[in-house]
Amino acid sequence: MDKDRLHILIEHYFDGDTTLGEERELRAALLALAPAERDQTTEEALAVMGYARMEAAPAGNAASADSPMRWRRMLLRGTAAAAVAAVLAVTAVLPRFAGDGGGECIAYVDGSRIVDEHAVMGIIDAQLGEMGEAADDVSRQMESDFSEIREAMDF
Amino acid sequence: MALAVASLLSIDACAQTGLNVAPFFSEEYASEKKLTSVTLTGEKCGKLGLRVYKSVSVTDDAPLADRIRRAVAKDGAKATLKEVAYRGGELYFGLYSMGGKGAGRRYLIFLNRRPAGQEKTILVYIEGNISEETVKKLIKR
Repeated sequence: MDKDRLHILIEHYFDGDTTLGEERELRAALLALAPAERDQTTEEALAVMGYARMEAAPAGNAASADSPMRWRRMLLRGTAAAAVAAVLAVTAVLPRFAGDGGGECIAYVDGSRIVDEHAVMGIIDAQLGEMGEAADDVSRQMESDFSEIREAMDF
Repeated sequence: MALAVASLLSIDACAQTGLNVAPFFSEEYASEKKLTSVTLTGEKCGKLGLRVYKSVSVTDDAPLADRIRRAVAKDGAKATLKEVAYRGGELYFGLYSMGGKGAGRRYLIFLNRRPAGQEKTILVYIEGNISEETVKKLIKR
């Protein structure tokens, strides 16, 4: 992978915009780098992914406290920790739900996860409503076609 | 976040296996921008009289919408029963019975709003012990 593509992918990774496939691709590309090929950006990405230790940055360095990359790294770590906690919490209650036949109720909208039941059911209602309108539209078209055919046959 | 997605969406991931549309319900697409996906199973789904309800809705992403439409056309060719409508040479609406018995009866419902001037595609996968007539009542309720 060329350096530009790698940096773009790292940028997307820190923004939380990468797909699972892109994350795997990024991980493989980072691990394939020789030590001499690594720069500040790739080191930070490796650190967040847990493959390298970050040294404390001197003041004024790009990895200093007020750098966007450091902020994103902290945010990503927090997000990852929250995701792990969410998975642990859900798996802890899943057996109970399984016994009650609870099941899943999840939606993803523009990459954001929604577990509020009312919100998810609202999305379903909207989707089924659109399907219903289309089905009615098709029925009206059929009636219109039959009407024209009947007129033609009466002729 | 990827870990949470992979873990939670793995449940019932095999419900729509064997269908060309199956990949669009995977976790790979859940994080796509311009895509809305819904997964409803178990007790929550039982309120609708179903065992599984999955849907993907794509807005303003014509290439992805076209991929979904082609997959639906492939699966639709194997449908045991279908009710379809074309507009402007494109598949506009489709209700497909994909076979199965009892609670394993499967249906696909497809809507392509592009002929109506809106770049929006919705695909719904339903599984449950319901007839085609009941599916129609569900979408027309």
